[in-house]
Amino acid sequence: MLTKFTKYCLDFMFYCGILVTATVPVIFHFIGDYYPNIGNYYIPMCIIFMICGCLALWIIFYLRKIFKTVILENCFVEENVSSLKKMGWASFLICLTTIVRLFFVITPATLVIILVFFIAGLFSLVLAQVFAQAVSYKQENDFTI
Amino acid sequence: MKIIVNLDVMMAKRKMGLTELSKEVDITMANLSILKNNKAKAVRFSTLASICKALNCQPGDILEFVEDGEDDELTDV
Repeated sequence: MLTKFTKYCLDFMFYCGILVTATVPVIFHFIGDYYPNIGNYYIPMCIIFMICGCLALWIIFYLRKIFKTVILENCFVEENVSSLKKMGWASFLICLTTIVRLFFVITPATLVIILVFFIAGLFSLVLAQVFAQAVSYKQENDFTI
Repeated sequence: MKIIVNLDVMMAKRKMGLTELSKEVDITMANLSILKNNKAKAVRFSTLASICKALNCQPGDILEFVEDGEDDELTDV
């Protein structure tokens, strides 16, 4: 039940994410009237949000890849260690991209996003190391007769 | 230095094939093959006991300690 729910959430986030990221210029064109920060800096905000969107899609892509191995009951593999590292670096890149946004407008939400994605990046890199250890133990166990 | 598993030698002495030994000790052929080809990293005592019982031998008949370089000399010959 939880597995199916997680899978549907990941799929939903991924495909909606593609749609939203692709239509950022159109969305910002309409909401620019209501949010002066976006309206006044339309092109930089479009670029920043599209970059962040692509990086977030990259994270969800690797998350789906990891989840497929969980469904197959073989998640302690080197590919997942690599996926987690890539997710970590993508989080740090989102953090850096959002810092660029501070040059245009400083809001509390922006600062929170920077902090959250920095911590998410660290979390992902630590988890990658944990998985690397787990892979090592699994290989040891697989070759214990 | 490493431990060599001379399972094939003992199997030949007892005239027992891999399939038969696999059934006797209740280990898959894949795992027995890993053991026979010295790819195993560890062996449980229970497994070793089952193999010794099936082949009617002692652990020392199956396991051999080899220093570094000794194995290379053997392969050179």
